[in-house]
Amino acid sequence: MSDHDNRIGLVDGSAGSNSRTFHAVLDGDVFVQLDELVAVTRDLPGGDTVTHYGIITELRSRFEGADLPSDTARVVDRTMPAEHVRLAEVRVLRVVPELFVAPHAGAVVSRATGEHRQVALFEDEMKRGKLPVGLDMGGKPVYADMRFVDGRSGGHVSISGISGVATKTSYALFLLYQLLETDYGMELLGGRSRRESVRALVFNTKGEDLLHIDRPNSEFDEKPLAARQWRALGVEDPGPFRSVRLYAPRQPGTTGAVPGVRSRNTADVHAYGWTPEQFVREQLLQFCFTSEDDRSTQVGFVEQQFRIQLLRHLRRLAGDTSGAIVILDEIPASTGFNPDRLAERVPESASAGQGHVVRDFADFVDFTDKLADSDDERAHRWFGRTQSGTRQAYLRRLLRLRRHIGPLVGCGLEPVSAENARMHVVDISTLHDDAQRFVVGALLDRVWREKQGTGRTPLRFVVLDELNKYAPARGFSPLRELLVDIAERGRSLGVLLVGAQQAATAVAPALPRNASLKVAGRLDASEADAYRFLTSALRERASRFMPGTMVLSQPIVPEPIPLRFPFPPFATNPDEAQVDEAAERERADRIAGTLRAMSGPKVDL
Amino acid sequence: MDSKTFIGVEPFDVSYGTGFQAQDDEAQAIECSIVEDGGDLRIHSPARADRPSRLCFVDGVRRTEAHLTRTSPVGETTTGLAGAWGAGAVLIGGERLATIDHIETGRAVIFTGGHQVQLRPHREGWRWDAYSVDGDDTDAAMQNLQRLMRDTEARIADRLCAEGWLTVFDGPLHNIRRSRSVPVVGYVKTHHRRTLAPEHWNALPRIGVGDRSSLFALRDDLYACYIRVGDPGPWAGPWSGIARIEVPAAAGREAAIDTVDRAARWLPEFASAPHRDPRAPVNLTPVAGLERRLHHLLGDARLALRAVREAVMHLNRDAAA
Repeated sequence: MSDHDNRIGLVDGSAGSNSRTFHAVLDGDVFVQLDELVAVTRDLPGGDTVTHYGIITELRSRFEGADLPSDTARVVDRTMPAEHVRLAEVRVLRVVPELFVAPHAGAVVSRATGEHRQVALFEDEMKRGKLPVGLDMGGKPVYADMRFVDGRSGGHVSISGISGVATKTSYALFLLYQLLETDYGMELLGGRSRRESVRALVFNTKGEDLLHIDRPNSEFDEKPLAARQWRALGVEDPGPFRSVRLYAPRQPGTTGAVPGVRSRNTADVHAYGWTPEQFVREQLLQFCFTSEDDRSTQVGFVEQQFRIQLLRHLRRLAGDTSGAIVILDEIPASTGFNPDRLAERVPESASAGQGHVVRDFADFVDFTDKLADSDDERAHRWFGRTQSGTRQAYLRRLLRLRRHIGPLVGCGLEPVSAENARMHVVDISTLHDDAQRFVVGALLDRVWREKQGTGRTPLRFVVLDELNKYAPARGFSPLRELLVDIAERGRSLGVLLVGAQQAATAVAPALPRNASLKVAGRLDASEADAYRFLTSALRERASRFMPGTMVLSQPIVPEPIPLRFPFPPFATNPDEAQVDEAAERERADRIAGTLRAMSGPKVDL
Repeated sequence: MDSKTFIGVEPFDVSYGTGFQAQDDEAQAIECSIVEDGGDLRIHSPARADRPSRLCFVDGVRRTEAHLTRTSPVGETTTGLAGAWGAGAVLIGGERLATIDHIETGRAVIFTGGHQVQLRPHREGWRWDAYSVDGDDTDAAMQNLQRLMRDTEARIADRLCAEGWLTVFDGPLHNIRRSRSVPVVGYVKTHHRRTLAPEHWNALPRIGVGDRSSLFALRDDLYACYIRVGDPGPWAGPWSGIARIEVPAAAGREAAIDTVDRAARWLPEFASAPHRDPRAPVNLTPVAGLERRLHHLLGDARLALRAVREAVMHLNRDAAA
């Protein structure tokens, strides 16, 4: 690098440099910050050159010549001669060509700009596309290799940080925005039609925050920096997500399909749930038993028995189209035991008199309750040869779930569909933990089942906060196993998990381990040890990050890169949601039109 | 080999050498005449004075790095040394920190008996000038090294004085050959000889910090007085903290009084702290910092000795060839 205008100093020769790290003694008038990229070029004996690219990870300043703390006052008082020296600690990102040598003591250290910056950040290696994942501290875009985003070479994103200040969800949405709403995102996903088939399933876990991402952010215009940052990322006109479907559980205590939302018009949001038939055929009973103790007892065994027996005894209620079922008292002896095969089969109809009619979750519980009391051959079929204590335990748990899961199962409910929009935001914030796990399990299971055998594309992104709740570090549950399975095999099947958690230690190790992009916002200082992908200095720094500052580690760049991401142009909570006047007007017109149509033509008398 | 001159490097480390201490002053007492206060010694307490706006301290260091011998073809042996010296200045002016500047260093091979031995420059950058002194006393070679250092100091002091810096020269002013009327203050911190009549001399320890003694004429071209730069603490002897300052006589007695009055007040600012400097308080802090830097810039003494050995080896090999 011969560009001496960019010179910032010399490689420190008083302390040894090595192939991974060195110090730059800064020139007197140079201003540099942490995270700036630098380059050092040296000539090799054969006439070739080798360039070390690095990132400044720490800066030091001291009086050379003062060796006691009290000398400082003498130096400032100008009775003791000393030189003010500043050092920059640099960690090597890359050596071009790839030679394992140390930079020369005394070599000129320059800022890596332009082409050098791209090489330093391996952008030249991102031949199959690069996705902007943020801006460095100098406001220039930082890219991730698309191969590690879309599952070709890797996938999954793991985001860690303290709730409230780490902006985990915002960052996850920022990444989705890059992919789903920008022109380059479309290109990276293989063009318009390919992008149209991409789906993102986003779980809303806090307030009704994410039920507003289809609306402009009213605070965006107050932040001129944000517009500049979006422009730097190549987005001239950032706005809300354009293809969104919103889902919320139905209003508590009702039997209809009106979504329980407060901050949005109920017409904008779809109520979701499962009919009894779907509940049985999709084997959702397994996701009712996901808390820690369910698997350590015989309860899990009973659930398995029940799940299969429900499939075997399943009939549609004759004359009903709302999803009600009949659990037959007696079934033909020839009925098989293979749950998958049983689930595929469209059930025959049966009359209400042939068994127990189930229209909602409470009916399931009633059915189980009755069965648990009897001790005949039929009860054995359902419960297996378990003790009555186990049956009671199973029943107790089911009774407890009635209140939590009940609203999600009932006739006439529709599950979350993957149709009609790219983003599907599912509100689970109002649900009890058990019900949250049930919904997440049920939806993920369907995504996972649908993707088996289809190959990598079309891609399915899943954004899930509080991963520790669904895939805790220890224990066993079908949901945890499902998430681990997705983490391990999902990238090749195009199911890509964007998971967030307060602390990576609280999550099943396979999840962060399999994530190609590891991102951390403000970390809890006591937890910082768990983030091995960060250097100790960066871990310490991350405990002081402000909202909007993250650090990203990706496979091809050996050092994590701190970055910022711009303020979202879409609302991330009800307060930010800008009232869309045009849409409101349109809605008012529509209602007025309907009213007019209902009142019929005006007749002149 | 037998018919050639052979240069040897003594295997003993130089620190086991002669223990020679070059003295600038002759040891005999002299009795100078006091030129104010009616010839009587008085203690003056001058008014408070700020340090000069452009002030510098000049000092030098030297080091013997190898003891050498020269054996002539007939077996006659003379001694010599390889050594280094350096000098520089601490500049205190403007808003900048006190900075070290005007550094000059050199290396020499000095032989007694009038022999000059030129060593070839070493590939790692070591190079030596060749000097000779008459006689066969190794101390004379050391005096020569001291002279080289003093000359360098004087040259730097001359330059800075000419640029208008008030120059504090660490040592007696008679080492500066020119610069008789320029703003320069000699600063002498050792008192090997008595310079005043015994009754005056014995009264000097009464000087307090910031005070000065009456001015006296030291030789015919210098005025001098005694000051105390720092309180050495209750454990120290009566002469601790006392230094002699010298100014050129050419500017006149009144100018000299003005200079020493001020210097007596601002020099104590630069006195060193006992925990920082074994020669505290008289060894001035800027001078200590400068000496440390100069020693550092002379390079590693072990590497210097290695370089001398290699250069001598090459010289003997060349001579044999």
